[in-house]
Amino acid sequence: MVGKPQQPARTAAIQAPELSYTRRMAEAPTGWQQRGDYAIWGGNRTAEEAPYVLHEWCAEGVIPIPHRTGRPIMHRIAKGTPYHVNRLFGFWIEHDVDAIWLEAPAEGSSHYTLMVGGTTGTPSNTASLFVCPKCAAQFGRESALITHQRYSLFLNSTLHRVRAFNADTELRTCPKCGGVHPPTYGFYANDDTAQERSAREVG
Amino acid sequence: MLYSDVYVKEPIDKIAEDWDFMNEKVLPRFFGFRPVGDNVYGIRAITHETQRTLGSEKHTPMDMAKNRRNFEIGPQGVVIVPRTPLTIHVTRHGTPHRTEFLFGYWHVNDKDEIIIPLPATDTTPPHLVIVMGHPKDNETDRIACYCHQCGSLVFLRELVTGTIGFQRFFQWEHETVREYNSDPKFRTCWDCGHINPVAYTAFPTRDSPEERESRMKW
Repeated sequence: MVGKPQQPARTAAIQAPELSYTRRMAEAPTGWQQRGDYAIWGGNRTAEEAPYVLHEWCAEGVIPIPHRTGRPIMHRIAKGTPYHVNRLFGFWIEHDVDAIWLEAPAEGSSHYTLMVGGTTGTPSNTASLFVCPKCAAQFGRESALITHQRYSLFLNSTLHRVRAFNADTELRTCPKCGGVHPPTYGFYANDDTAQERSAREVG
Repeated sequence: MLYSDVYVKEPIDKIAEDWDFMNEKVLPRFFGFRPVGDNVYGIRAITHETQRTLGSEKHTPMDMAKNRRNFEIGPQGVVIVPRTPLTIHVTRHGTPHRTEFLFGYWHVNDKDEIIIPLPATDTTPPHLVIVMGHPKDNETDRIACYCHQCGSLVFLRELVTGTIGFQRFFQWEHETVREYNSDPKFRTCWDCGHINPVAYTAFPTRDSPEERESRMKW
């Protein structure tokens, strides 16, 4: 017996692809946005607030990238280079793709953008780690494959990392020099405990 | 600061002289587009009040006009994209886009582009920063021309920059624009018959008289 032809299942409306995206740097906090091949963060600090300072790790130690020079600064963080932005996140990040740090002065504030990406499917392999403030040795490295999981999952996971780190002196002890790393802080200041807030303020 | 005991003592300029792309000594490398690592960078000063002075000697070759408008093509047709200072704009791959008076064709590429206008400071003019992914493998850049009258695609050329390298782009751009301008058949709309104006490259100093005339208009 031949029945009625089956009707195709009703399909959901197909969402139009995103053609472009716009965000004001002056909006604070913008948080992280994943747009195409980039994870983008934006934020700002008034002149009364201590600035964000980008730090890069190299074999000779830690390089603080100059800031508040009165003109814009654009710095490329090459893939494979651990970096840290004090007062923004209290650990170090290493990507498998380049990142770009942009600082622009305007209206009495410093405006910042961090753009991670440029290659399709990245950032994918991203590591979080700590650097000893006594000898600059790296330790506590953990890598995360985040290709299909969006960057925000990596950032959210780092808070658990930071809290475990703060709770355990052994985890904070440098395997090279034995120095103890002070307690630190995650990415989102709103989530800070009192201890994390104090660490963020120290910078 | 936490890491001040382990700071590298050497000045950063000695470690990497190009650590800041906006530095006045480094910036001229980015007047066009320059591939560095995973991205291609362009930095333009916005120093012209209008398009009338584009290409004049006292400015760098790709300085921009303050009165320019920026366009994208989406499902609703052509839209104007404001360039508000300190605004991050991402033009997603595949979206045709164009900047009035700067390049007289539509750029359609396979990489996302981030565009950030920066305001003037006491010592620097306003700038436009462009960051886009470095094309790889079979990823391409395209030059497209759409009919000014009806919006139909009238001309399209493609360069596989992922294979050939992005540094070849501007030479190809020049050749492609000249090809389009060489014969009215390329500019004549197959659909409505409208004859479109000639295109122009991103370098005003290379303009032929008719390209210059076109640059002043659209």
